[in-house]
Amino acid sequence: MNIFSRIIQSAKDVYDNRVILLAMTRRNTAGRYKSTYVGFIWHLLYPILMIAVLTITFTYIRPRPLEDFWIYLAAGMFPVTFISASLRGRAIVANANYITKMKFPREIVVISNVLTDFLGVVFAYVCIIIVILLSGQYVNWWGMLMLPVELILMLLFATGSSFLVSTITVFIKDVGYFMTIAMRLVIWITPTFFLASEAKGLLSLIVWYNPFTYFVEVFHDILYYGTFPHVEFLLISIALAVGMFLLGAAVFFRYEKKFPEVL
Amino acid sequence: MSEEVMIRVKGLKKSYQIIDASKVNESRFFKKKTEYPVFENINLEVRKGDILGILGRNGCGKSTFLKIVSQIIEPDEGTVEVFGKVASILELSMGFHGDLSGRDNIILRSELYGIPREKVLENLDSIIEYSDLGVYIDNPVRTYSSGMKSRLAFSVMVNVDADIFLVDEALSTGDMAFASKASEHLKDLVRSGKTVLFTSHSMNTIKRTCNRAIWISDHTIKMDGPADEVVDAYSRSINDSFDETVALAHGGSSSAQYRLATFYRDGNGVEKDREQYLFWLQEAAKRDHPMAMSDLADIRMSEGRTEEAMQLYQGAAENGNYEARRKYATMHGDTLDELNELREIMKGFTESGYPYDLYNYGNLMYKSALTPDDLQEAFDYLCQASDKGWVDADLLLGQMYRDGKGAERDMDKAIAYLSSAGDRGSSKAMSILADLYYDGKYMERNYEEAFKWYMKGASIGNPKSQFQVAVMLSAGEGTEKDPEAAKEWFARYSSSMVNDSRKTAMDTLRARRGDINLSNDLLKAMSRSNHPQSMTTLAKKYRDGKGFKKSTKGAIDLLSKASVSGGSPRTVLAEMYLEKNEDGEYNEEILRLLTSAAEYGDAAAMYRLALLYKDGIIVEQDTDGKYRYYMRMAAENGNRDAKDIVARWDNRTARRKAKKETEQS
Repeated sequence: MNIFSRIIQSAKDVYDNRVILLAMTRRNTAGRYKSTYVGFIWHLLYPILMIAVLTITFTYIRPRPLEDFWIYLAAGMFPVTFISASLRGRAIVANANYITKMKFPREIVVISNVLTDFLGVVFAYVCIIIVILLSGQYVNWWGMLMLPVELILMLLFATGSSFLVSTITVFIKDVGYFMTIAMRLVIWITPTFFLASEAKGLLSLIVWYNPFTYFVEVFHDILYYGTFPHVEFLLISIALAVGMFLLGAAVFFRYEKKFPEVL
Repeated sequence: MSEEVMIRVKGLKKSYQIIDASKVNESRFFKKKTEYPVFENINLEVRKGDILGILGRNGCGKSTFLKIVSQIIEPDEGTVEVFGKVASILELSMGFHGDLSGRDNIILRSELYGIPREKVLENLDSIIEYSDLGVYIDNPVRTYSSGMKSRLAFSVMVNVDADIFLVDEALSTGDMAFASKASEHLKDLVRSGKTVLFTSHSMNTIKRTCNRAIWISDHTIKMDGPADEVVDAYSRSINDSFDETVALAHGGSSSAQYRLATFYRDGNGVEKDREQYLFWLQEAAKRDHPMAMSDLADIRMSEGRTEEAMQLYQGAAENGNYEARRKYATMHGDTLDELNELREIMKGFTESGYPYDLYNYGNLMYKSALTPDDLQEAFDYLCQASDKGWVDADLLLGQMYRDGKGAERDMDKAIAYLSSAGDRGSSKAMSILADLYYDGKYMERNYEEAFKWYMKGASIGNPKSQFQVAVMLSAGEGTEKDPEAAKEWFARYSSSMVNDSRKTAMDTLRARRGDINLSNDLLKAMSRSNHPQSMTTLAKKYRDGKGFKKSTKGAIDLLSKASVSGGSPRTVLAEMYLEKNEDGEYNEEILRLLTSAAEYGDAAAMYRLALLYKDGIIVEQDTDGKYRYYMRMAAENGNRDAKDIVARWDNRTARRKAKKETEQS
């Protein structure tokens, strides 16, 4: 079966089992802050406090001469944490219980995991936009229209990379640990705390070979610079998203049958 | 059960990659893996309405099998066809989120089984009620005990709709009430046309719940059949298997340790090893295993370590060991001297060579045994009594072989001795044998043999056997199903239970010179319940025409029935045959009846035999040897006529002796 028909088949399976997908996603989200006092509000509180911490850090403790630097930070921060979470590769291993004991489309485990993190990002952007609007910043509405598009592309990329890395992690557990460390590095070679244009020499080379950069830059364009995003960035992120998704799906579907025995 | 096949497995093969133990040390970096077969050739058809239990050791592939049937794992070779919707409940605690409440987890789990949210909410109240978790339902699941968790999980399962249910280790947790509720639910499922497969380590659960079981061992289905048969075979294999026992013993199971000790003692599946025997015996005794404590105490006694032995006896006695209690009491109650005196007296009797003297001494030694040597002596004397045909000696020897006391356990010999006693009328032997065949604890279960022996016991009025016969007849176990006959046996059983009172009533009637007809009715009723003495008494009345119409045929019929039991009915029957025995056609029968009655201890039979030898009727005349032998036996067993004769002999001898003495002087 070629990869495209397999993906279509899988889409059907997942749709037929959407109850399970939603249940798992709900389990991840609802369960997360369940035992706390404010509960669900944490989903909003968390990004707001994150932004607050970063703003305080870079306005008072280590001031940057950039105007409204907090918007820049917030716009880039969340995509990086989101994608790196999906690359950590724990999705299948952490849900071994389901894989070995339940008959259902196994991709649901990966998708629900990515979806859970994705909801966090969406929450975060909603907060940012509200704050931007409240503080009377300039908003380019045409650019803003591209935000959901880019979010979807990022979701695709994250799903693909999660398929890929979590499949490898099933067979080689070391990969999961390695990726956790590698993701720490990624934060520093992606323009989140610095401007892409500030990168010089070797760093500039690395930054533009780093796929994260293109997603982050699109968000920077939309939210911080208030423009329509660079078209080449958009195109590259489309290519990255589709490519990664196909690669990840191909690897996943090639090896998923072995999961219950190996886990 | 319908014939519709729900699951069909054909030629299933599956192997796993496992790390080869022999190569573990070769490379630190890449462990070599080898293919290890889980299933080699499994064929199975499960029909609609089956509750199939799956048995086997840990790691034999029970769970893998369920996973293959539920198509989580694919087989390497062969096909698995499943006709219908499958719900696999492979682990009850799967997918609970500790921070969510029981209520939320019910919803979550139901959704994981694919039940839409609206439908779950609709049934939520009934699920909560079924789970019986009461106020805890809104608390986070992490605060639940494991039993509560499985209750919660099972109540969700109740709501899952499917044709085939696969349940792994489901009923092993939770309290008794819930376990039986759950097992009833599985039965309900089957009644409503579903099919259930489940694994459990609790053999009782499988016996109670399943109609069919398979036993997986050595990569294939070792046995497939009715649940109780498979469970029995499996548990026997565990009890008899040396390797299993070693594993269990190392795991700290005192009963396994004791069993292992006996393996080393008897050389069962392993070479005899006294040191290992003692080691495991001590281990088991440390864990308060009563038999082990008692056995170890015996050993300490024979080593002269009395103090230690006494402590062990006390421990065993406190743990309910009857023998240890007796030994402890004997030694503590300072009755040892009295006992030894009694033993001396009884041993003196055995010089006569009469079988009952040999038996009586053997019996005493058996009952009062303090050391293995005592048992050995009991065994020797009982063997001598048995050689002389004493029925009760065979009964006791059978029990000793069964329990491995005084002799190594040997079920074949146990059966042989018990059958010999049973054939000659020992109702106790009949019922022990029947039980052995029936509960299959010591050997392969055999309903046919069990029924045969229960029937024998029942026909001579043993109440338990009568009940058992009735039950087996109504269930069709070991015999054709026959509700009518079952009814009759139930009636006899319930009648037997009041025979004591009938006897009292009869005696009272006679003492007060009451209505003789009433008394006769009571006798008839007792005889109808197969009470052998009453049958004999009634037969005598028929024979003599006392209170009844004289009927030789009726008397013989009754006596033939009663003569299954040893003793007096046989003698009376033999006497009737003797009267009719004009052409010697009954010779053999008469001799057989009298001999066996005598071996059973019936003094009248001994007397009759003695007379036969004296006059040379039927048998060859033997006025000195056998005549005197039987006559003395009869006298000592209380036959009055014989006593008179023997007394005359003795007087004559005494007079002769006195005369001789006076002549000499």
